[in-house]
Amino acid sequence: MKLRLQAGNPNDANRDYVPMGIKGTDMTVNENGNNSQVYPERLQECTGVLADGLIDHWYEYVPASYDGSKKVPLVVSNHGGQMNGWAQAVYSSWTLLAEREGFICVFPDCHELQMWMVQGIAERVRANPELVLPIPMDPEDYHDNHDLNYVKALIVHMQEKYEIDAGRVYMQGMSMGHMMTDQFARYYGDVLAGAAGSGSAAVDSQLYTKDGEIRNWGGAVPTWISHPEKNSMDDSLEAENAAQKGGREYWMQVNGVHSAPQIRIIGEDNFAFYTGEKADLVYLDIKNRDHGQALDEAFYCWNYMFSGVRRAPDGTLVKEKTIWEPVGDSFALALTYKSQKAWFHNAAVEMPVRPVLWQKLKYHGLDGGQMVRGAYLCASLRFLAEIFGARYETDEDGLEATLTLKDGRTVKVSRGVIGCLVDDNMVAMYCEALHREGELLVSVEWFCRFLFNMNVSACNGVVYATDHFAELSTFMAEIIQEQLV
Amino acid sequence: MAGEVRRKQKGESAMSYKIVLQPGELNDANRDYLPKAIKGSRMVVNENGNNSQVYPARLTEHVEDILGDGIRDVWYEYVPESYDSGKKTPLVFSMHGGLMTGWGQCIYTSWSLVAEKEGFLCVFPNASANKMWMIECDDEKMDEITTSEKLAGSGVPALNRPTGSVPEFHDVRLVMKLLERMREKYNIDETRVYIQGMSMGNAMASQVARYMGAHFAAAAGSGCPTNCKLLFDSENRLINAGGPMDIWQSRLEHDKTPYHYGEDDKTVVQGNVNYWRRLNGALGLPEISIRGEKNLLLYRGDKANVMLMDVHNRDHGQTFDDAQMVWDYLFSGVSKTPDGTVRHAPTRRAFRADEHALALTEDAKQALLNGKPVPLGGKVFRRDKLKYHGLNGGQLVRGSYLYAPVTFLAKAFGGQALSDGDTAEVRLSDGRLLAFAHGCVGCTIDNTVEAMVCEAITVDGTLYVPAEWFCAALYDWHVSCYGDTLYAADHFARLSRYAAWMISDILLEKEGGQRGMV
Repeated sequence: MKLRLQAGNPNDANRDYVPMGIKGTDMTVNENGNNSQVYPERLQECTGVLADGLIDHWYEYVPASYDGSKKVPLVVSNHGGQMNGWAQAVYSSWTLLAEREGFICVFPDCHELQMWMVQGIAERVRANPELVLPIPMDPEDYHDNHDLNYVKALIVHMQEKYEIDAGRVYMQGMSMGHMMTDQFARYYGDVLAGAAGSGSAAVDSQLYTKDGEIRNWGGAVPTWISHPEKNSMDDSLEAENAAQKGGREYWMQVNGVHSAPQIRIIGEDNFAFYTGEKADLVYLDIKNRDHGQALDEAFYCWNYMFSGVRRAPDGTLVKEKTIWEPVGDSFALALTYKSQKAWFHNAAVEMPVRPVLWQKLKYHGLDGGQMVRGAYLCASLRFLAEIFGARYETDEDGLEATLTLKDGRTVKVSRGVIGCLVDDNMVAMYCEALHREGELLVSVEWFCRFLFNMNVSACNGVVYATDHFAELSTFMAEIIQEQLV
Repeated sequence: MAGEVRRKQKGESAMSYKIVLQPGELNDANRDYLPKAIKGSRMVVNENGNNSQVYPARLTEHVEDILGDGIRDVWYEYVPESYDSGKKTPLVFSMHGGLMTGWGQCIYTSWSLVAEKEGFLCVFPNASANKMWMIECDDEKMDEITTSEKLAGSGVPALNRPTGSVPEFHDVRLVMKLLERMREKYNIDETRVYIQGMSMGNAMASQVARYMGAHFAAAAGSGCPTNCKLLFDSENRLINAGGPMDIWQSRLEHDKTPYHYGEDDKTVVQGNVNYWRRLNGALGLPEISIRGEKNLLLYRGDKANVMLMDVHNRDHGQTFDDAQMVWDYLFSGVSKTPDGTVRHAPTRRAFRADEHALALTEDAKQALLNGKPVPLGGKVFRRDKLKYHGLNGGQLVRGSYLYAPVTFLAKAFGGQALSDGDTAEVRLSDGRLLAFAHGCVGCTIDNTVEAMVCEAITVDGTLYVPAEWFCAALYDWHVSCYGDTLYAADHFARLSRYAAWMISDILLEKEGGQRGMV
């Protein structure tokens, strides 16, 4: 079915998380964490008692193509804290995707305080006096966690009400909904064929026992973690990275991931595709994005993962061809000054010498002072020649070198000189050629951009060069460094 | 001469000479303009305004009271190994910056290297007094800028107080005498004499061009444009005694105009360009090429051409490849006949304007598409992307984008507009079908939702999208912005300050209001 984006009525003056005026109208709001679509006409508000004798509310979305003649997948999508089910529907594109793919969505409201009941969260909130949040008290025993019971019962309810393929039940959530999804997957993952979340991480106290044993009752689940680069859910970048890494490593263990990821960066979307023995893991870090979820995340999640995973009747996970193949960039090079290894063709490879982060200075007229006008990662010219398929010749001392590129161009470089000769034409590089441990080093940014017209981005000491538009993000830079350092 | 040039082999032409870059010994601790120890050594220094090469062994120093006025002038000659006294040979004067020297200018440029390969001669004179050229001054500022005490704290060294008219200045006479000397000493092609300078050397080169231009086919310079008060009289007429000539003006993005000019950077730089555009009859649109950090605007004229090169992220000085570019794109193809006519022949490298590029400016109703102005069918506007969740009513700007009509963008890339309005649909030339909706950050690309960097907006029945996203995400183009202007190209390009200002004025039809325009 052809998708139709409805024109909205942007409310640019809005500063609320979810303006109530959106419900049932064409109002849209755009914020750098959440962008809305026009309220879907087919979204139905529902109320009932599904678990623990308590009344709950949820929103069902049944696509126009559904006729009950065949089993369809189900996607449960959990809202963020201080939000609700319908807001999660307008702040994501699950309903649009449901129209295209023919699956059914359900967007539950959490039971109380617009906050999910998450095991361990009350303790975490109490530990931070600055957090003043109305948090539902989590019970000692997760069996008494009403939100867990309710969402589990909601899946059963949807299976009873509609023709749902029990092997294709997926769950996703944003922010606190991400925590809820992660929690659900840890306890009841065996009913899910995939779990995804954006903008948060599990409560770390719930992941391992005091003895370091994994706490998990649901088993392996294909997992998708989206993380907006400017998420800022923790006090510092280091703390945020630790939390993200913790959540990632937890699912790597559960899913049996033992190898390096395939890395793909398309525009601002930074993907790490991990393959596991039991289930896969995808980590998506989104450049220049704030806490929330991107409007296209549902599509990415579906196209790269959910479309190709299901559970067999015996509960075994089955992996099939996805709509989009989760593979890394076919040509990409990543380097950091912290390692003598480079990331090339989705593997770590050794370089002759560790790159140097070199600063270009202005100092004329500053009375002995200086200003940094550029910081460039200078890498072994011999290595760059090798990966770009160029012939490399040097003099005895290694102070001068000539590259013959595959297209026939020659590039001559000499120590200390900012100019190089490209086919006998003087060309100024970003900074002078350096000489370390017998090797000539040049700016990899300059090399890739000027000689090969590549797209180069740098983030936190990591440079990523590829043949298409790509912006390296902070937490993908961390993942790359994990592979190299 | 060892090490600088590969010797010509038997049977090879002069054009077979190859530049060899000598490896230097880096002095990264240096903070002087020009460390004296460089002279005759292998030391090299690199600063974001000037980068040096190893001192050329063939550079010769000359000291003489050449004008017979009691002043011992100093200059440096560079004669390439390939020099053949039986052949008419071009000559390049290259003028040092304030507080520098002729040999300093030689190592801070690549003229000697290019000379080796192309076979021309260079001369690098020293200023005769205080390492500062004698240049004409704005009368109103004369006392201030020639008196050290009055300049205290300004960071500007005192200029030599001019005596007499420009042709009578010792330094101007020195240049003319050196030209005469070089003609006597070498077989100089009198139709191919050029002058270039850096910083104050640029002001000096400009002065020579404006007053003695009849003897030079072209002039170039980097940094330090000329005070517009010396270019235009009170009625905006050109002050010139030299006639038309090809001009190359290199500007550095971080450079600042001398404060005593009393005009801002934009006004002064545009005034300098427009002076020569008017004199050379080059008032049409420029051909634009932005490659990497080098932003080139070539104005072709009836009488002579004007090139503006603006260098992104560069400080006051000159780039090491400035000489190569000046030679390849300008000097190598221009000569001046004895009657003052400027003649053009093919240059060593043909200047090629960007063939696949788009320039947009805020509030403009037209774009530059592949170098040509085309109507947009709307007006470019800016929209900010905000974060405001959790900020108690506050907000942070996370991105700021220029918007253009999506139908224009689609057509610019060879696609088709299928519908427009609150929703719009376009088909790209590769078959991709895209749909957009007012207020929605997502679009559909072949029935898949993808988030743009900012939402689509419909104004007066025309749907706009962030142009940066369209060019980069859909076509992998390189996009850069400066101020109100965006430049997107199919190759790596970084828009720089002055180029952005020139493009902006073109698109907003404000060129006529620029300094120096009629």
